[in-house]
Amino acid sequence: MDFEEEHAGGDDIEEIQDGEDIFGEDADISVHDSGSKKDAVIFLVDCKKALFDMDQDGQGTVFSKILSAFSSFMKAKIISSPDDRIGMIFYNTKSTNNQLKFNNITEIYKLDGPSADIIKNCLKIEQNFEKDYQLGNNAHFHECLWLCNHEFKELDKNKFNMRIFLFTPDDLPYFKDQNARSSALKYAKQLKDADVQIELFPLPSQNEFKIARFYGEIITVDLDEVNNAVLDTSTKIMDLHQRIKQKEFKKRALNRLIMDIDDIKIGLKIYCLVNKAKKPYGKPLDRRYNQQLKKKAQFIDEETGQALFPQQISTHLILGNEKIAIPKEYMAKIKGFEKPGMTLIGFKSSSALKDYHNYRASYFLYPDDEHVNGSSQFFDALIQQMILKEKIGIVRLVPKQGSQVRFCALLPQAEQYDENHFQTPPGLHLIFLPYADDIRGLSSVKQEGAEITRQTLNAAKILVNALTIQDFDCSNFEDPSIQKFYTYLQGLALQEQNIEEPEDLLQPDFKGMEKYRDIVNLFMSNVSLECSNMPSKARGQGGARGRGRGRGRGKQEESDSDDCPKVKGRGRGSTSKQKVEEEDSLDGEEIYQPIKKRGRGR
Amino acid sequence: MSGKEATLILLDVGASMYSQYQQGGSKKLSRLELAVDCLGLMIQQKIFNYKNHEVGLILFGTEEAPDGKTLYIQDLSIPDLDFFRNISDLPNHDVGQQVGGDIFDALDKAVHALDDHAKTKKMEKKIFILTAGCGQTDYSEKQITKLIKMIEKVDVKINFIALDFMNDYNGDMDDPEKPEEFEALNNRMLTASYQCQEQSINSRYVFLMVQELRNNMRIFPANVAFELYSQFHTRSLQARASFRGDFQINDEISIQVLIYKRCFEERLPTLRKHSTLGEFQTDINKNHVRNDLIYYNPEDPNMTPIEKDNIIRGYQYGRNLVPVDQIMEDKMKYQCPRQFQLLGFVDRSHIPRYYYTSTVDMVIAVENQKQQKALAALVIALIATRKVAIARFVGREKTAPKLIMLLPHKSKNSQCFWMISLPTTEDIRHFQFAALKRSTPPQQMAVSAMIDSMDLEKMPTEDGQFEELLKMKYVANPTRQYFQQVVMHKAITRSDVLPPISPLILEYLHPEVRVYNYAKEALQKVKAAFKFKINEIKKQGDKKVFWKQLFEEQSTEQIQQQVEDEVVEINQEEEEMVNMFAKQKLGFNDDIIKEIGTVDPTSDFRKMITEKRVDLVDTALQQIQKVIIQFVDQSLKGSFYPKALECLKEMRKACITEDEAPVFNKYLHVLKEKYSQLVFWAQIVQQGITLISNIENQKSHVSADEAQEFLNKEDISHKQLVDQLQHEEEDLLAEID
Repeated sequence: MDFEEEHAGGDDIEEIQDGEDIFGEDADISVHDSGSKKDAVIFLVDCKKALFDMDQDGQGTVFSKILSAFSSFMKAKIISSPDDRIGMIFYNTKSTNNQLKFNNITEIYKLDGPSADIIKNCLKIEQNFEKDYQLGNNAHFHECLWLCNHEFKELDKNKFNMRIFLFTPDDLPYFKDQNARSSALKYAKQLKDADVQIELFPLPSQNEFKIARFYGEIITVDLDEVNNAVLDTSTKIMDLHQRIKQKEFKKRALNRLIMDIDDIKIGLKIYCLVNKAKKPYGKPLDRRYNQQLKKKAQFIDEETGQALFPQQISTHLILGNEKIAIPKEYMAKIKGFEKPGMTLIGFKSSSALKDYHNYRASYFLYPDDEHVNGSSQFFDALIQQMILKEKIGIVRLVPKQGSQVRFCALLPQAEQYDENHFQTPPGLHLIFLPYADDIRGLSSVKQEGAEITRQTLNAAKILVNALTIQDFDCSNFEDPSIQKFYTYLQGLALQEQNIEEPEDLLQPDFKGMEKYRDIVNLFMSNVSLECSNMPSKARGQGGARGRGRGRGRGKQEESDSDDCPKVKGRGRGSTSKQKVEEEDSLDGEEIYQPIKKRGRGR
Repeated sequence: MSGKEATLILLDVGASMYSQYQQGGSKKLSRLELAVDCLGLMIQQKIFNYKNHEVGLILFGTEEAPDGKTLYIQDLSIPDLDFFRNISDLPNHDVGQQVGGDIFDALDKAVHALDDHAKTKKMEKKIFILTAGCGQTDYSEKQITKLIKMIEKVDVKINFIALDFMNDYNGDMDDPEKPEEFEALNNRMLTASYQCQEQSINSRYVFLMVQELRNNMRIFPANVAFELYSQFHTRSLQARASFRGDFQINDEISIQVLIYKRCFEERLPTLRKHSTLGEFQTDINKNHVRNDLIYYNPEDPNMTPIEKDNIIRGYQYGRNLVPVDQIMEDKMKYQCPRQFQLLGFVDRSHIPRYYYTSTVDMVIAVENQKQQKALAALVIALIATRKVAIARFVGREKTAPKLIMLLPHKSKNSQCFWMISLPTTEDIRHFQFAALKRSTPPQQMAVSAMIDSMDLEKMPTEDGQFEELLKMKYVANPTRQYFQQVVMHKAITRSDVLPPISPLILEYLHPEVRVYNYAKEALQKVKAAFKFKINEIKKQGDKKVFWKQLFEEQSTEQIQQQVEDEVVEINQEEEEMVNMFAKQKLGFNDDIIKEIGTVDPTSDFRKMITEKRVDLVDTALQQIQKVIIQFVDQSLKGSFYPKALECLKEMRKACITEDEAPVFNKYLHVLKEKYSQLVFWAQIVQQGITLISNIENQKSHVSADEAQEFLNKEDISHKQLVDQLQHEEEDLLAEID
């Protein structure tokens, strides 16, 4: 059994803590990026009739999409930060149910930690909407804000980042009169002063959504995040799924740092843009009473049987069949010959960073102008010039006292926006460079270069081009192991009898690939590789050569719309089975001779 | 066990070894001291890094030997610290009467000893011989020839470490393929003058041996050997494949591959606990500590241990703690059979460098020509088309699958993939960041000059040459180095004093001392160009402003007014920020694009193709054709070819999705007609852009074979050009290991 504490090195083997990912005390990003603050989010939904219309992509109503976004948001929170709080409020409902007894406002979920119950049941809200809530008269908008503020008040401002996700198809809420409008502005101001951020999610409707008409005066923008995308007013902002996904994690820096260049000091913030999610460690429970247990490690001197105090224990290394005493204090000194900090040493051409120079995830550096004025401009110039000259920077890094000194490459990234107006932020990626010790020499591995004919190479190129996944994006893939674990955990939490296996999206789409079989065979016959299990009616299988608009496997789902809610890793290419005409043009081709000669089933 | 190795050290302890080493420069030490230092480093590395390397020691040139020649000090065995200490102690022994030992007699005995030791076991056999070459030998040339044969037969590798001896030998020149240099070396060796006659004779014999044993024998001057040993503390392990199996291309076809580790973090060794109650003993069986782990109910004041059988695990799900027993625990694990399956190919540009999240492995084909060809063809095709492969990988039975990427890599004469894990949706954070404050042209210039003068690849040396600083390939982990240093020091001296870190390590760790010195002027200019000011950091919440303030174009006064009204305690920096954004109109233009511009033609084209409000597919296809031709025609030395190629690829993509394959196929013929003499056409062919086949799109009348034939034909007529392009590309990715 391996419990949480044991992993932390409580066993009798003392792991030397090197290679840690720790920048700050509570920024152990290898666990999860909890940062210093937790996240509290209220989904505030304007229940208008338009929400119950079918969305443009024909895949359910807008309302159902909000619900499913809410559910995945909560699921993501459960995996990454179970201590966050999430709530949901509907307004303009016929029903009224809230702590402050405001009319036409219904509190669906009070601000609370994510739970299995909600994840499961929130999707049913739509079918019960008529029964439970119904569309109703206009609520007072300022009361909605008031209610949110009331909920947030119960939280400690210093411990929580507070956000309202506001969903509405109307660019101007209902106001009885001018006073009502100013009350709304007043409450918005209060929210802002209380550090509550309002994120607006405009929903599709008949009319164009003009943020400037009203919401521009109440939604706030973090000065750390002002960019084109934040001020986007195009229809791209209607892409709910993507936008919520983007807002899932409140941006948090792991640490602030100074980069030294001789006597120049540049302020930096360090972020973690990719953080491998891991299954959590279990806590020990007494199975009889479901009582959580505590663990106690007791060290015993084997010769005397005496229990030892921590100061009676020291450490050693076994070497050449001898114990050599290396007390812990030594380790601190051995690692401490270099002071914590980051020093820019110089530049190298970008080709100096090889593909195999990698052993862990990288960090992202963004200037901290607040700490050192001029850092932002310096970054701007540095990034532009580095890209222009095709250079990378080289820094020496000691993340904190007691961590090993490392050299890292700085990879410049200019700000960019894609077709959906998503930002690629400006900054430097910090890539850890391996030491000579970390690179395995492979001279002992026998490798022989193979001579490739031009013809074979061309066949390979055609194969590669044909099986290319367009618009590939890692975020379209789920980790099947994590998904299965949490699906089961959710099922157990809800005491379900039959837990449905989640789909493994990380699988090759052999069916969708079917139509490219001839291209694969063309390649393989070129390298004269035997196709060991060539089915007897290989040609007949061509029947699945999709003739539709399928674009091969890996291609996203067929819909061309931007907002299908759950585009996953592999939408399958069209598999429309059409009868292929007998005269298969490839049949008589010479290149298939080897297979025919084997005469399987022919 | 793989990687077994037996090394026999032959150390000359004749009187000549007690003389001062002449190449030592300012360091005054005897030859024997240097030899012992060298051996110390070697044994230190063996002790630290290898568990199954045996070492033995023979002294020669000592009258203490029973036969007056060679004396076994240590049989071949795993070296321990006592061995190390004994070796360190050798220079303190009394000087003998013999001047030096008989090199060839010693070698002969050592080769036989190794042969006896290894018998039929598979192991690497090595001899290190350290001598000043002053010993007399009674070996004849005939006997030497016999010895050479024996060495070849037993397959012993000999490292000959010469102290003030064989100085004229140069391994680089010893190459019959370079006749001139070889001739010169030959002359040098024949005419070399030595202090004593023995050295001349020995030198001739040794040279004779190395001629015959090119693959089995190397000669190092002692100072070079010492340098080699003090620099590299990396261990070269016998590489062992972590995976052997099929890389499935589809459900029928696969390539058999082997996977090896390439890059991962080598950690410090593990420390163990011991009790300090009794006296500390070096015996590994003493001072043991046992860890008794108990689980108890926190409400139980007696902390009664709960039996293991009653303990299960609970997992946090939101706020619930869900109990999970062992059976369920197993069920919750996602377990797959071993698998390695291709998912598809992806443009390299779709995978940013920061998505590389793991260690790196190497994938090669098994030793079989067909398999190697298939893999090599894929590697080269991926390099040419600038793509990578994406695959599902389950390395061990009953474990979870990983999303991995295969990067093509070609070295001088072999091909492989680098395998790296990619993140999935659970791992990726989409954070928003503010646009940077624009830098001014003078600032840009200052930074540009700084980058130029801090070029680590071209640091001027004292003699006016350039050298590269911080070649990571040769930089060993200083913490590991120091750790090793401390442990060895502790092992030898048993004192509690920590030795200071070696100045050599500190020197290579701080190359910036030289860089800053050289870039002084440029750095001063940077300092002057930016108004850097360090502020105290106040801990506070995020700074927010209302959207409207940023969005609406307003006069500065108005904003300042508003800022004062609305933003509490806004500092000057924020003020600037608000101003900046107000002036700099942000946001996007969402108008329908009707024309493909030359700035970002592929994006314009894509927008037109996917425009849902109006059907612009035909217009877009017509325009892109014009744009491509325009790019090609306006190119100076191919300046716009890359852009034209991107457009062509985008057009091909669109013609497949939009069922317009004939348009593309026709156009490709037009391009061929027009440009078949230009590099542009060769680039098309090199990237494998061919006719759309009827497999890719049903509207096409071209079969896959015809598409390939089209490429082949073109390929032949542009062989040279395409080859050249291909090589340029490969060179970019190639690295000779």
